[in-house]
Amino acid sequence: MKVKPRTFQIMWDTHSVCGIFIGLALFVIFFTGALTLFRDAILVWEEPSLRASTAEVASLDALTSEPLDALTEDGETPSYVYLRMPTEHRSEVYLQAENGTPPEKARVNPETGEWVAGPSHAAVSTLIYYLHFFYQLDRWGLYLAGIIGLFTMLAIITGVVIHLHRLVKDFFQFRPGKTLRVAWADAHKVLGTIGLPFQFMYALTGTFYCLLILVVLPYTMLLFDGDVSKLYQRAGYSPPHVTVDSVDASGGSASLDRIAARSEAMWPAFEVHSMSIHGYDTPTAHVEVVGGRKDAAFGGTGTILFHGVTGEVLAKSAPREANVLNESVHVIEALHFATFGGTLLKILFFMLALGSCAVILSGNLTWLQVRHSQDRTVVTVLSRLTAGVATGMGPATALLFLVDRWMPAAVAHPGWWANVAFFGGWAACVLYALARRNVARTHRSLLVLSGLLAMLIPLANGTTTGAWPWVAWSAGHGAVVGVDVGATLCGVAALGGAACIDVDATPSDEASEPKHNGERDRTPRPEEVAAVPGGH
Amino acid sequence: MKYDWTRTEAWGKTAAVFVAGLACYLAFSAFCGVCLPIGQNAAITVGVLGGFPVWVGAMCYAMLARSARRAWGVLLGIALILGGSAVLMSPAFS
Repeated sequence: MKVKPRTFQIMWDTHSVCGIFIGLALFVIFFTGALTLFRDAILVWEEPSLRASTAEVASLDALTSEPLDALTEDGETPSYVYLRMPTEHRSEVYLQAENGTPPEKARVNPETGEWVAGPSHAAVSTLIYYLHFFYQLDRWGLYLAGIIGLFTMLAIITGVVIHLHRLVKDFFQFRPGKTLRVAWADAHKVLGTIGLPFQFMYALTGTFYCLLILVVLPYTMLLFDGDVSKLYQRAGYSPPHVTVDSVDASGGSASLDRIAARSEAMWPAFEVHSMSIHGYDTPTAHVEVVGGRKDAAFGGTGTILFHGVTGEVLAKSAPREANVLNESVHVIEALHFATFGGTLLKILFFMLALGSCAVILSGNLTWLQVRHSQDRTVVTVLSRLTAGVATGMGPATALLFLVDRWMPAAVAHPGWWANVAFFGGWAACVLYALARRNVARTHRSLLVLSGLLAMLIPLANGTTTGAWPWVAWSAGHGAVVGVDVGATLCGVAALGGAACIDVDATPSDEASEPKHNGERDRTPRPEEVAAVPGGH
Repeated sequence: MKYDWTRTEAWGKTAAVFVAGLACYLAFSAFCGVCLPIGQNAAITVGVLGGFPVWVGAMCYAMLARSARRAWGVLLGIALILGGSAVLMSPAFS
């Protein structure tokens, strides 16, 4: 199918401009997203006290009492407590307590009862996770990530439209021996076609999470009398609302272990995901339990509302009777967080995410190569910035892991220093890239640095915690081994990538001579890059 | 500039991509949630998830439209019809 020349031209330019504007930010989103797939493994790696051999929970009441007391040191009972249970993908119990103040968070080892809390815990995994949607900028970062997701969809749709008539042919065409421009364009099209469903799925689900707030407001106004909790109930995040009777709470709250056991016995193959305790230790305390089916990869949630003192079931909704909104929202969740398969699926998604980074970079580099001879400041700066921001993420990330392990225990604010190491290291890479003329050499230097630093990560873990890969393996700490082995493999891949870069293929800026008048400012038309074999 | 767009035309279309596209998305989502006769939960699902591709479609249209004025007119017209229907038919209004 061919589109009209005008449509083709506008779609082409929309695709290019869109890619250039969002490219580097989207690279950061995909790169951190690839790592965030293993967020819980990274958490266990960086917090040795959370390393557990099994996901079996000792006793919820025993595990939560000490951290809850510590989180509410002022003596007041928390008005709201959120508890997230360990699953196949997550080994720790996550605890959050609120009392009209910002929530205090803790993570508990379900096997030993050891726990970590405070602003500096889980610095590495939290930094990477927040950077995935720019949450360092608070909710504005979230909206920015949503807009980038939306423009990713636009780039994907326009990319498909301009390549549709050659999709099959281009898929089998990769010519690294031709000019750089052709090689990058081929790589962009081949990798883009391979990752198309994956990228569209992530663009859609990511935009959904970041911009959902836009549509929640009109829905709650038009359909739910301004009560947003009704929408969340429909989506399966909380049980139906009922009035909770006030009873004598002098005997204490109902046992969380008993509530969990009764919940799991409520329906066949039901698994508790989280508990929310409202009005902890008060006469009207109630516990909301949300869970899903163990025997289904996709599906909606079931919810149960217990009285927090008597343990009476006040309301329930079975997962098999989940409505379509509940099911859709949780299918999106399973897809986005890759929880519908095991570790192999996460590894596949990790590779597809890195492939998406390559699509973004190859698109960016194609655009730059097309304009290489134009001697324009914007081309020079963008070319160097691409090296600094994208390739510079490698050393910065490896440095973050190393600093987290090798930071002395006496350091007052380890989380703050982890941020300084990452963002400082990244900024240094960007400055280095901006200052250096030969961009290919910059890419190669940064890749070599990434590789060497990444290969030090298992060493840092082994020397500081004694958990060398073979020791961690025999102790059943698969996540720790996974991070160490993954870091080593990434290091090898970075060094391999560096070895493949031919620094003489891209002439340095001073060596590139502007062409004669007529040619100098001429940007090749889309069809020259898209349709003519050989590019030039 | 390519396509003989004036500066006003280019900015007008870009603004239509952002603003009129957003208006279309919100109106479409609200219309689906309120007016689709397929059960409220299914209708909200169609509105929320279908809204993003509609938004992207509106962005494409804004770029492809013959003029910025037409892009604004068509997209805001669609948004007004869909959004207006949603408001008029919503339980909150009736």
